[in-house]
Amino acid sequence: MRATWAIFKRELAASFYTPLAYVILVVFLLWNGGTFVLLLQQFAANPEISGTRGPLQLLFGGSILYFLPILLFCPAITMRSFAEERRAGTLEALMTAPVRDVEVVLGKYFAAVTVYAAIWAPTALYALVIRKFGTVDWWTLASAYLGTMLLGAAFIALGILASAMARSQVTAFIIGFALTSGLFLAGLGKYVFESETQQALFSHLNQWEHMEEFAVGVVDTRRVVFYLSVVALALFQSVRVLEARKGVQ
Amino acid sequence: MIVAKDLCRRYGARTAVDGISFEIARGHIVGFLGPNGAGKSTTLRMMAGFLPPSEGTITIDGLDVQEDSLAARAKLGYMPETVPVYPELRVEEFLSFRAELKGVRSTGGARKKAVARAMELTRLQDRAKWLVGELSKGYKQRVALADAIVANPPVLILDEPTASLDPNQIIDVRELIKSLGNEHTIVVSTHILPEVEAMCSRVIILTKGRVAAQGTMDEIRARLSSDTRGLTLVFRGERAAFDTVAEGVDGVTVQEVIAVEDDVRRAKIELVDSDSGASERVERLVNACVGAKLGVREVTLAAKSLEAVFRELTTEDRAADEPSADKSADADRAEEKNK
Repeated sequence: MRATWAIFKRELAASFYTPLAYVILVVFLLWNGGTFVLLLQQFAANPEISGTRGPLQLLFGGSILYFLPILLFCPAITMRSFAEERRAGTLEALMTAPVRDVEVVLGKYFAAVTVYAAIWAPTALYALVIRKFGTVDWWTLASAYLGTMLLGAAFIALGILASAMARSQVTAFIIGFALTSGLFLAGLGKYVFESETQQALFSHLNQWEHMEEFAVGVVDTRRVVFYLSVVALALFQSVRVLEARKGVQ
Repeated sequence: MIVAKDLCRRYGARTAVDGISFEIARGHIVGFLGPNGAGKSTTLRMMAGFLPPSEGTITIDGLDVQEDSLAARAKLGYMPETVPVYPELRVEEFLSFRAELKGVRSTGGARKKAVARAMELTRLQDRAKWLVGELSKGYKQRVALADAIVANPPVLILDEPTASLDPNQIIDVRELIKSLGNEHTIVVSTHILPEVEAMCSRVIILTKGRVAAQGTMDEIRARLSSDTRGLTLVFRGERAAFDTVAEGVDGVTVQEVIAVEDDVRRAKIELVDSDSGASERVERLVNACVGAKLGVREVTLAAKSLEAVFRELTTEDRAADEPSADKSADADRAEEKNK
């Protein structure tokens, strides 16, 4: 895993040498800040609605405003990883070094997950804001962040797969967005089908429901296994795609 | 050190490399020579393990590049012709990253030393802190070369190592490659004939994905010089005197004579088929000119274009392989003579 560490360091540095990471960071914070303010205003105007879910719980998975930027930004974080190397020809040098394909994939994957964690990090300040005027259940909050990280980890793995398939960053982004939003929409099948079996089946895929659980502090191992499976499957596929596309210009 | 057997590589319906075999011994510098599209890069890519061959095998130091890929790759430093470098890193950082990838440990400053050595050999010390993206093309090429040698692998595979260098840098790089040849087995590709002559102990000439000829430089050179077909001669003296002299030498035809200065003329001469060797005829012609008190100032053997060399080599091979193809080969040669 020596190579994974070397690639992780370079990828992470490269992410912050280009303006893209900062653009994502700023847009993401503006978006989440706006959502948070909307939620606070809602609660301030209607004090009677506060039940089990406060503004912090609703921030995580309470609305499409939570999912939309994740669906968009995960493939944006990963679109560079393989597509840019293929375009620039550096993939040839990378893959002819004595490194395993899986080491390369993991190095790039963990770097992208770290960028994803970095864009979420500043939102921890919201909790401090809430604590000033009320109470924060830190374990519930930790569960919400766990869910957010699992969701992001799965989407980023799909984004890595998209980038491994593509030759340009734009294609990588489009394929990546198709994969993340495809998985998200599949989960919404729960609200479309009527039979109980179908609903039970799709609720396993339903990220919206999963996040509502995580947001109130319910850590269901089935969800954890689901997201980690998506990660494993997508990364395994990425390794296979890299192998199959070796030498393809 | 490197053994290739019946290598084939097809891209869809197109065959880039069509059944080539060769052996490269330890410590040799071998040049792959051929026009664009001859399959040089494809062959080198297969050697480096980047491209799986459609058929055939390559082993490096006994390790199959496909089966024992990791161990084989650890033995080689490969420089692709695309000059793959990360523009956002500094030269030193880039080489350090590549050294780490190639397993050079940082203990005892080994990695730092490896990077310093690679930069010294490629004369990059004064650019160590530069961003790779800010370097000129020639310097980028040197960074890629430094990358190939940073882990000090026993085998170097260099795809067009002098492609974007200026004349001084080309000489530097040739010297470097020659000096590395003492402890490394080196494979270089190029489409420039003098380049191979300057660096390589052996040469493999490729055309259309096949080996047209291989051997030491001397063997190849012997094949090429034996059929020199023309020369240019600059002399001081009368045209008529020269014509008389030329007529006296067997197997020589004057094509044209142009006055360059008042009394100095340039003659274009063709060596037609004859019993005597081309070099002997050149010698006789020059002697005759001197004997006739013509001031010979310059004799240039017509440089054959590489293209012509390849055509000759391939047509000769075909003629030798399949007797039935003799006619077309002869026709080819006749056509070339007319040019």
